[in-house]
Amino acid sequence: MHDSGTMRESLDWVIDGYPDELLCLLKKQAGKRLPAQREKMIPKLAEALLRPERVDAMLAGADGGELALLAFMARAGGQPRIGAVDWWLRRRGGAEPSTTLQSLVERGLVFHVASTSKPTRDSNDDDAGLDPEWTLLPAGRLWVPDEIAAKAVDIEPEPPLPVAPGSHEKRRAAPGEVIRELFLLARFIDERRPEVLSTSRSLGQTDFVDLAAAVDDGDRYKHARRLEEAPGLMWLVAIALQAEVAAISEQRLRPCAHADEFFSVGLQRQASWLLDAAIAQTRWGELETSASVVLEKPPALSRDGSDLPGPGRRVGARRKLVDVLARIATPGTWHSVGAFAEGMMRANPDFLIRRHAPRWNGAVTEPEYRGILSLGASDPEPVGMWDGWSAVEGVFIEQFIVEALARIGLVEVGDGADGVVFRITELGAAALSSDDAPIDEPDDAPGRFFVQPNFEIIADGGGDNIGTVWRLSRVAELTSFDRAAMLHITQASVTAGFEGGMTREQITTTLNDHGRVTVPQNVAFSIDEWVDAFERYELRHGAWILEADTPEELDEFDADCLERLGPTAARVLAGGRDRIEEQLAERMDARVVDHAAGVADAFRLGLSMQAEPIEAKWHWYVSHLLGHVADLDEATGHYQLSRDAVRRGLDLGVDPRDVEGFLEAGVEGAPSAEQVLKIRGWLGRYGDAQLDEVTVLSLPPDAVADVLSVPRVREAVVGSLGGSVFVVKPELAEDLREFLNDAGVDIGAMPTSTDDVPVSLVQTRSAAAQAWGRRRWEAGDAEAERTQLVNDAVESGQRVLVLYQSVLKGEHPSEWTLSPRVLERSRWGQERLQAYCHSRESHRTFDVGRMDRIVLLDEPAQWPDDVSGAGKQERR
Amino acid sequence: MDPANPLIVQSDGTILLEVQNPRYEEARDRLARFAEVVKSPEYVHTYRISPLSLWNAAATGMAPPQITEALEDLSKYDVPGNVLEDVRDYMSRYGRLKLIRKNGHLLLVSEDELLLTELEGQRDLYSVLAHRISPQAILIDPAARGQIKQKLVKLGWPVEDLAGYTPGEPLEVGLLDVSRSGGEFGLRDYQTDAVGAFHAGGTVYGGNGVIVMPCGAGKTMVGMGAIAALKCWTLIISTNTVAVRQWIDELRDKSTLGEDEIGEYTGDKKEVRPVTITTYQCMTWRPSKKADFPHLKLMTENNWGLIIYDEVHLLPAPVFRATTDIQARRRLGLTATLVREDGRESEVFSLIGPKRYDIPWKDLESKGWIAQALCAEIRVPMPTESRVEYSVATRGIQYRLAAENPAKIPILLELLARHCDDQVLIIGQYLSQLDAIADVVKAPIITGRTPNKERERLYGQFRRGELKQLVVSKVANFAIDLPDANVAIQVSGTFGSRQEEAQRLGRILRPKADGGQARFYTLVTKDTREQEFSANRQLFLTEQGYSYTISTGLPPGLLEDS
Repeated sequence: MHDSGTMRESLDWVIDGYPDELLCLLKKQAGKRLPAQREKMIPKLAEALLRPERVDAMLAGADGGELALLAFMARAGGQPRIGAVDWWLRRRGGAEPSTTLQSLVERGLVFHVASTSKPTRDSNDDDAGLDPEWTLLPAGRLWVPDEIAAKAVDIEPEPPLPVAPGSHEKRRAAPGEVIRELFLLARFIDERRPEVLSTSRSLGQTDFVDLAAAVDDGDRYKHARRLEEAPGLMWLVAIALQAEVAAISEQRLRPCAHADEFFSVGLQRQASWLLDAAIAQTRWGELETSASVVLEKPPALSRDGSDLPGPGRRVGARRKLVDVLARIATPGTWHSVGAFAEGMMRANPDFLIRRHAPRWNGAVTEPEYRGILSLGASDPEPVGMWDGWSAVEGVFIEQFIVEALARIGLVEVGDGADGVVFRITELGAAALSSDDAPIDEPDDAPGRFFVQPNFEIIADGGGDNIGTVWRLSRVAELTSFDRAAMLHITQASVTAGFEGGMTREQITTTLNDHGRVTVPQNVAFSIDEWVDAFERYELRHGAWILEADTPEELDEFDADCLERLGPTAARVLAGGRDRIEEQLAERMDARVVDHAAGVADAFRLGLSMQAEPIEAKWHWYVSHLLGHVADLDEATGHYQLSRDAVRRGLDLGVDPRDVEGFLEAGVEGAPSAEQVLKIRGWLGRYGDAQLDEVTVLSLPPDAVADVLSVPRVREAVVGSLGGSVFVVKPELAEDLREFLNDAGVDIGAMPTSTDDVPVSLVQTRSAAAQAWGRRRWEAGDAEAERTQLVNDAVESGQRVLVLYQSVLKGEHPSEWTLSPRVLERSRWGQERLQAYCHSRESHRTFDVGRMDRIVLLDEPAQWPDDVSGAGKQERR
Repeated sequence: MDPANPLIVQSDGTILLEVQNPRYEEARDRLARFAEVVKSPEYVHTYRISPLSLWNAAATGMAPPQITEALEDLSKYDVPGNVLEDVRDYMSRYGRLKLIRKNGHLLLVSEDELLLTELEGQRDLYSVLAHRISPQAILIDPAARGQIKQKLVKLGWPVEDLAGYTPGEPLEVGLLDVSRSGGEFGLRDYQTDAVGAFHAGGTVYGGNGVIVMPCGAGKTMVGMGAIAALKCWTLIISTNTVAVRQWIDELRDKSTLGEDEIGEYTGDKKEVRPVTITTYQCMTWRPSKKADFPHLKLMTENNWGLIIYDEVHLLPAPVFRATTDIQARRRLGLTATLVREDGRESEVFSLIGPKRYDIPWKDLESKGWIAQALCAEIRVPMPTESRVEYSVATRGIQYRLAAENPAKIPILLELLARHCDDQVLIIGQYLSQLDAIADVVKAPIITGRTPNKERERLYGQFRRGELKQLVVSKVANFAIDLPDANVAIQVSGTFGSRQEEAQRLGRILRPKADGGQARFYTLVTKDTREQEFSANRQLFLTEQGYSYTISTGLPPGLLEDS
């Protein structure tokens, strides 16, 4: 810092002597922290430096060429790279660019930023490979402050794009329809958002989150490339937006949970966004198809870099082209593509590929496009940046206009005296200016799709036919969307159409009236059938039902407002509710019961089953129903529920289901288990129970296993009461007593049996295990026991229930009921049981070793002869 | 590019071809050289450019610019850049790997040494690559010739197989201009094209592959054409003994082969002669589950120059495996429906060879080479009592109950009354149902248990018009020549089998002497699982351009002459 003189002098000194430092401070790009005193000076310095009178004075001293350069730098965003400025100055001719720039810098009209970044192999980084001798203007950006830039642009306004001379012949009969469809889509979306949301979420197998991610990540995903090729991609993107799985932020599509932003900006802006995204995603107009140059992809490990623009750069370039077009082209007027390219070169030469600063090798050397070689020569040679504009950027611009923009419908293209010409269409002008589009809702263009007998729909011209495809997608699954859209009609898609609000007529009209061919009979038949199936069952929520005691009473109501469901019940049609309510009001005794709302917590129910209505929840329906099934104590206003009162109510025709629901829901809190039992029991919900006396055999614990292993004992036993106590069949009780006494298990007096004991057909393994005094098979004796049991079953002709282990590890065992037939031993010593399997209804062979549990059943074995496996068993 | 053009090229390599476009035929012929037909429904056909189709095109000498030119010339819209790039990329791979024979050794060679090194490192190829004998060559086990081609294709590297074929024992054979039965004979244009596509002038670029043609279009003639072109000992494997005898009859009638030059190798006879016809069943028979296949050696023990696989889509696994070992022999697969429900179509391509010729069914129909067929599905409601049983049955049983719906029989009788002057086949899946039908309609029945002689007698009577109605089980699905059958009534089928549906239609597609139409009725029980399966069964035929008329019951005028 200068440390002498006045503050004014200090400022002047700084302004005159250290513009770079000032700039660094202003742009905050300096790598080191400056003294606080200097930081405080920044606003003052800036104010002093860029005060209007000073700017005016400086600009007054600039010549025409300098003003044009300043305007160029301003239009290039105010911060062009040195390479671009050098290139611009050389094309204009005159003094050496470095001299001109030095002069501007010294006069404070232009500043340069010392780069702090290290050289990289990024193809578009101007720091890469710069000659350190180029010291006058070191690597980095130039900067024209806004105050200067604005005045320079005023002095040197951007020239409008000249009108192309001569007559012009349109190349295409009509420009593409994408833009029109985008407007329609935006309008459609705006008007019918709920339907869009419901339908787009069920669109075939397209996962919109993935789609959004794929679009966002461009080249990273394999299928993104295919999507980019699709002219109608943006339609899908729009759907993704509607489905609220994607949002546009910072002009990029991103997955998100909510895309409210999209809906808050209005129709024109939506269309504009869609257009912008369409432009960004359009791949036409890339350099691949250039006839004048050949592109070389850099070897993977090259350190030289390449100037081939990446996808992001190309997207940016296309957007810049559209921006410039919007500024300088006159809608409806024919312009030369060449002139536009020329204008672009003047206005923003760096829009696609950044200019390199010339090399200094004793003399200034023309920089070259890296990775771009000229065609035509015997050996392709690098293209120079000073003269190669038309072969590289020029071709890109021409292709972008002629193919992409024409296809989108932003421009129409023709041929004129100066070569290819174009003009912005009416819709294009509306989109560029964010005006409302001068279009009406169209009828579907006929003849744009085929419905085939295999339920496939092929819609021609995907991107140009978006409206039609959209309508079709409401009744068919979209499977592919590209130059043609492919859809598939399924029952699910037709049902989804119905759920989305379409009618049978709309579906038929959509397919029949606008298709190129008649809908095949089998398709039409199936759709009709699916529609019928859709309509076959209907669950109505919140329907109003009018019930009367007699059909005649119901007849007194306005029949136009009712759909009769039965003699005494009718559904009140939505449009007739007011009328029916009026008629009900005329009948003073009529009450409207809201069954849906119920009567929750309407009364307290005491242990004595006395119901006390809660005043705050009183409803006539509570008193009405309680009055049917309980006795009113007029002194207290309480109702006494009793079995007799309930039975009386049932006799009067009260529906027990209504009463049960009412009582259980109406009790404040939850009814106790005893109350529930009583309510349900009084309503006759349970059958009659039976309490019988039975014959019981109580055995000494040590004798259980031995006694129960005897078949005739097991035959007499019906079931276990736990431990060593068993229920015995009354008719066999006496035999059993004799047998056991004879066997030394003395039995005292047998209790007297009364009624028949219900016979349980299946004795569970747990019961059997208890009977034997074990919970599981013991190791060691298990095999013998199993074999013994099976053998007993074969001999006694009883069925067995087995738990059969699967050979597959971890598989749950299966449970089979078998009629054992033959127990045999295989040559490997395995015990195998031939049996009829009642569960599978076939004769089968079982490995006894895999039987985890065996329970003898009190049922005789049966071996049906009519089973196919029977003969096979016999042959064995 | 012109909106009036017939093609739309999609970014995923799918090509859509409008049938009603004036340039349809031109487009179809040009596409056939480098794209494969995926489906050909009534209005828009779908083709696909796949690596395999491009390599096939490269094998026939096509170059990427020709394909690019064809696409751009025929396309309505701009051709996606990635498709053209893929065409260039995939075709550039063809020829970089070659199988050659040198000094009796089989070598995999490439000028790209790094590529060979990369392949050596592939785990999948460890078992088939012997060892590197030079930077540009790897020694291959001759027995692994088929396997290595299969594995390399899976890895995305086609092999140009220049190792040549075993010429086989020479055989003097030609086709007659006038058949022995007295009729004029000559291959039709498309049959000649198919033979030419397979033969490829006798070069290594041909000699293996699959010809796909509708039933009734004369696949047997194509097979005979191939034998006549190659003039070598030939083994033909067909589906059943009746089909074997039909091959023999045709060879005797239309070729110069003498009776002693044609052999039958079946359960009945074991003749091995210069042209021998056998069955898949015979080849895969073995005495026990663990024993070898004793007849499979027939494929390798004789010096066959050509092996023909009739109905190649039915190729059983053992024959698949045996085919990998005979890659030095010329192989021709014939089929109408290269659809395998097990999805092993690609194995057919890699072992038998690529699809050499395919033609939409409707194209042949329009030229009168196969009969025009009208298809109808008749929905038959299920009687209430059956409905109850159906409702509580398991899903498998449900299908059978629906298929055997007794209410189908009155409809069947009504149909038979309408077609009392026609030759009617009643085709079904379940023997109990077919037996019941045979009893009701008083028609003979042919099933798997009908002896071959009895079958031939009944087929003969049917062909001569002595029998008007014949009830057949699925034994008649394939390779049965019944030229005059003009009505087929399908009463039940194997679940959703697409190829069975197509083969059954094929029974009535042979052109009629009076040029009349064929009718194919399917009786389906309404609102049951059979209806779902039926929709799947129809997929193949609708994708071949056929339309089904669906009706509930039998309305008057259904499938009347159009």
